[in-house]
Formats: sequence, C-alpha cells, structure tokens
Amino acid sequence: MKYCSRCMYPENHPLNLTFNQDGLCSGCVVHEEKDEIDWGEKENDLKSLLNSYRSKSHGYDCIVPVSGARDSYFIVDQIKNKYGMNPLLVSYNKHYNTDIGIKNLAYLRSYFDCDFLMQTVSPDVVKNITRVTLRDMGSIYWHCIAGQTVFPVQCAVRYKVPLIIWGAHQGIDQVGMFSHHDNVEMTRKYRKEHDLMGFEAEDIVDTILGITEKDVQPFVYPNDIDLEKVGVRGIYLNNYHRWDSKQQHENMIDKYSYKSQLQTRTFDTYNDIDCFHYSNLHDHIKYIKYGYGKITDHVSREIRLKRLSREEGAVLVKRYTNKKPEYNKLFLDWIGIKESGLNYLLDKHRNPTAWHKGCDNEWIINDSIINYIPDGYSNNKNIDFDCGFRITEPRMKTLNDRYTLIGRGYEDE
Amino acid sequence: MLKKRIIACILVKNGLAVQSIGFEKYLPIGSPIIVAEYLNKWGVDEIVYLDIDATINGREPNYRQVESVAKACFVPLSVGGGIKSINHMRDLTRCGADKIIVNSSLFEQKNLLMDAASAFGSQCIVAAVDVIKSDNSYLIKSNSGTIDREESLINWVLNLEKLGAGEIFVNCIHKDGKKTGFDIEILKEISDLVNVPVIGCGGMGSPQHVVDVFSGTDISGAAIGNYFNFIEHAPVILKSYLKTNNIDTRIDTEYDYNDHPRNMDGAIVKKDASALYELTFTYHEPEII
Repeated sequence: MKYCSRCMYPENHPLNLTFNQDGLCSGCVVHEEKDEIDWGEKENDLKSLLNSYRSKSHGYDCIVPVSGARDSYFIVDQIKNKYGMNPLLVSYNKHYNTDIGIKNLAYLRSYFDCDFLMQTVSPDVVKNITRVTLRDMGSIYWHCIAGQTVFPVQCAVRYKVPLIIWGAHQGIDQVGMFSHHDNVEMTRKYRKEHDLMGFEAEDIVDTILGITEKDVQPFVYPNDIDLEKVGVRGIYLNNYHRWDSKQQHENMIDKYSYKSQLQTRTFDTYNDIDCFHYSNLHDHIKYIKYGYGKITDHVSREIRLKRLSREEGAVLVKRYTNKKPEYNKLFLDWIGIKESGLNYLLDKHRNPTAWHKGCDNEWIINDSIINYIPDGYSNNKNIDFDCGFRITEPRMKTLNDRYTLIGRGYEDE
Repeated sequence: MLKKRIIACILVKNGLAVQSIGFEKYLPIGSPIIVAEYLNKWGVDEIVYLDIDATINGREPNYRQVESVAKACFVPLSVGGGIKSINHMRDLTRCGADKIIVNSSLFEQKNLLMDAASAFGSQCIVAAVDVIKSDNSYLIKSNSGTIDREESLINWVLNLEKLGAGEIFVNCIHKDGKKTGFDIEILKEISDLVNVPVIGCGGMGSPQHVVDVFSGTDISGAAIGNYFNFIEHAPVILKSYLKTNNIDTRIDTEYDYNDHPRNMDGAIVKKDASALYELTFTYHEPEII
C-alpha cells in the first residue's frame, strides 16, 4: 500500500487520491493553498455573491443545512451574524440522535433565532431502507447521508430559495479533488458517486423487502427542470474561508457554549457527537471496508494544520483504529438483526485492496500505516498527543443511552 | 452555418478521471463512467476520453473502461491515449469509440495516420497536438508533455491535414487548468491555416472565455475539461450564455437557463422576486428510452 509522505492517507481512499513526484497526496497539495490564498479577497467574493442573493421581498435569503454538530454553529454564526443574511435552517433527522446532539441543536435554534425545518422520515421506512443498504453496500449511514444531502435541495426548490450554503466540501478537504480556486459548487454527480457510493434513491427500490418508490421519495433528488427553474446553487464555505474545524468549534464553545464529548474511536471531541454510531459502528465499518478509520482522517487533518507530527499521528492511529465500537446493541435492536448477521453482511464488503483471507479463513489486513511507526515511538504509552481538544462541562448529569427521535427543540432558560 | 460544438474532455490517469493543471498537477475527480454519464445528461455535443498515462507507461488503451464509458455515452465519443496501431484502433471502435485520437505515436510511425484514415475514413481520425508557448514562439510536445519535438508547429499541422486527419485537436499546455481563457492567437492561426475542423482545448474558466474563442477564431469546437466538474449543469449554462451572444450550439436538454440573469463572467445569479413568485411546478414524466 502506498501512503502519502506527509499525512496518513493510504492510496485506497474511497474518494481517490493522486500522488505527485514527491509522494505528496493531492489532499496535502491542495491543503497548502490554505496558507497561500489571500482570504480577504476570497471573503469579498463571498460577500458579493451573498449580496446578489439577498431577498428583496422579506423572504429567506438562503438555506443552511444543520445537524447541531459538525460546524453547524460556526456556519450559522457566519451567515446570520457576520454577513447579516436571513437563513432558513433545515435538518434531516438521522434517527441515531444522542441527547447531547439534540441539546446542541435546540440551543443552536435558540441562540441564533432562526426558522427551522426538520424532516423525520417514518422509522419503519428508514429501518427497511437501512436493511437494503446494509446488504447492498454495507452501510448503516446511507439514509443519513442521502437525507442530509437532499433535504436542503428539496427545500430550496419547494420554497424557491435558490442559494444553499454548505460547510466544508469533503472532496476538497480530504483528498484535494478540487482547488479552493475552483469555487466548486454542489452537484448531483458528486452526491451520487461519493456521498451515496453510487446508489441513488431510485436504485434501492426493492420488491423483496417491500421498498416502494413512495418510500424513497424523501431521498430523491429534485428534477433537473425544477432545479433550473429556481436556479438552485449550493456553495461551500470552505472555498471562501480558511477552514479549521477545531478552531471554529472552540470559538463556538467560548461564544455559545457548544458542548463537546469524548468519543470512542477518535480524539476529536467536537465533530459528529450528535450520533451514537458515527464514531462507533459506522467508523468501524469504514475500517472493515478500507482498512483504516476516521482516526486516520482526523490525524491527517491535524498533521496538515501542523498541530501533529507524522510520528505522533501514527501513534494515535494505532491507539484508536482497533478500539471496539460501543452502542452496537442499540443498532442491532433497532434494526432487528444479530451481531453475527451484521458481521456476515459486513464481511461481504471488505475491500480486496485492504484485506485478504488467511489459512484459517480469518481476515488479515494487507497493510497499515501503523506498520511504519519509528522505533521508540510505538511503545511510549505516556506520550499524550490529543491536540488539545477540549471537553466541556455537561449540561445534564445523566445522558440517555437510547436514540432520541425528537427532543425538545427550543431552550428558553 | 454549422453549429459550434461544445466538447467535454475526460482526462484519465491510472483509471481515474482527473483534473489537469499545466500537464503536471493532477487532482482526483472520480470514476470516468459517472463523469461521462452526467456530461451526457448535461447536453454536451461530444465527449473526448484521453488516457493520459497510457503512452508514458507503455500501456495499451484501457478497453474495458472505454466500453463502460461508451455505454454511458449517447453522444459521439472520441478516444485517445496509448494507441500505437491499426489494431488498437479497431479494438477501440469495437468498444464503442466513434472517433480515434492519435498524438504521440504519429512522431514514431510516419504512416500510421495515412493507414488509419484509409482503414476507417478521415471522419474517424482526430490528430491531436500538444502545444506550449515559450518566449513568444510555439513548440510541440508529446507523450503527455514529457518529450520536446523539433518539428515546427505550422508544418506539423499542415502535414497532419495532408496525411488524412479528419480533425485537429490543439491542446495548449500553457493554458491547461489556468482558467484564463483559450489561446486565441494560435487557435486562430491554425484554424485559418487548415481546411479541416479544429478543436481548441485549454484555459476555459468562465462562459465568457468560450464566447471570446468562438468570436476570435474559426475553430469548430471548444474542448473543456476541468470546468464541467465544478458546477451543476455547467454545459447547459454555458450553451445558453453562448446563445445570448449569438453563437449557435445544439441545445436539446429539457431545461436551458435562458431566462436567468447573469453576472459579467456569464455565471447565473438569482432571479428577481416576482419571477420566483410566479413559478409553478408540474409533474415530470420520467423519460425512458
């Protein structure tokens, strides 16, 4: 396996990587732009774009997709408070909600005083769809991603609000699919290939499991004709702002008491804490598929931002990659299968670039960045490289360890 | 008068569609098949598939991938990269290629172009040439820009026409991925010089650049690579902008962006409130071919 000479990414990254002559991956090459770009100029571009979309008829100026975690606070703070736009916040209910995520979202709505729409698809339909996606793509998260990426677009068409403002474009931030100068916008093509693993909503209609065209409507992309009529565009804030998720979350902790939480399989305590499975089972599945987990993404991000050395990163990858995911039982009970059934389905989706079978029919990983930790580093358990991710004082003494489908949405204390 | 053609380029490196910047920096886009599928939906007139590391790695064309791309593609598909013989060309046409693009092998095999044109007809053969501008003169490079060629550009292009090339595809290395517009000077010179259609490639950064190249030269098609990956419906938005500038292209998508306001570069901006207010939606019957 080939690895980037700076970050920890392997060549089988599902979003794809190219390497230059120095062995640097495209993600690192594009990341270097962050220190070369005149961000003031970029901000002016953003301002003039936002100005051309301000509503003259007292309607919404733009749509901002939020989850409560993942830079939601930062994006809304920028759009509403810094640039004075009137956003409509929209959110897809991912069903695997944690209490802390529900609370963060409720406080987001209260602090920023914005209108808010949430789509909660029938749990029976979501379970059924997840059975199909687990079987066909080995994913428990397809419905979350499909919903998150389409509900804002459906709202843009339905409410005739043509501008959607997203946070970071993962293709740019992780693998350098585009340069920041490309000012890339949301496309259905990117969503199909990279967000949905090649499966659009229409592709998961399944007569055996009883999934009808009606069931998948919440995940269907609006028709091209309607997108054109309204003139829907989705822009990404990381093309106009030097993106640093850690710094952004910390500002939000100080300004609006965003709450963080320890996670099982990564040192990042800010992103994706709204979901029971993102940093647990979903991340473990990523490891099963590609031989590396979210920790590799987080370590690579921190290395590029010069807060970790490559050696320290490798130790962190080793520390977290094989951590056992928690809360699996929640998911198994929810969907109604046994652990052995889950493992059987997941084994079918192991990527041959990452895994092979041994003589005793056991799965063996082909290679891992862990194998390249310099001597002296790997054994030093005392070194603590947590990059300074903060853990905040919790709002509640006890946290529910069950999914909360819908919680109290507004705080007036 | 013939309509101008908007041609989409899919550059493929190691089986992966990439963005190319100056023939030296490559960024990963994804599957060429999905790129082709969407370009096709977005109403481009032709698709050019260039396997840019076949020749430099001494590899034959990737026939299986060409076949999958051809399946997703309902417009003429031209295929180039790694083609060294008539047999390669025949295999590619069997995989679904409508035209064959040859470049580097023409420098080694002087008869290849003539043989190909007599075997398949000139309409099937596109001769490509990679051009770089240095110190106000234009030089030829081959093998994905790794080898400098001695031939003078003008003589070489005339020679390609004489040997039976049906079209000449001019890719400007110094403009590749720069987003500063096409090299109008050299494209004008070449399109004035030869009688076969010329396709210009390299430098597209906004719809206005395409207007500039079609008004400033006689090229018959503009080839665009990176830009079509940046925004939704990019080819349709481009074509409707060309229409407002009196440049005629084929528009047969069900949506055309004709009543959208534009900024100076030709990008769309928000419709005014009353136009949005009056919009109504109808059910769209799915189109099944």
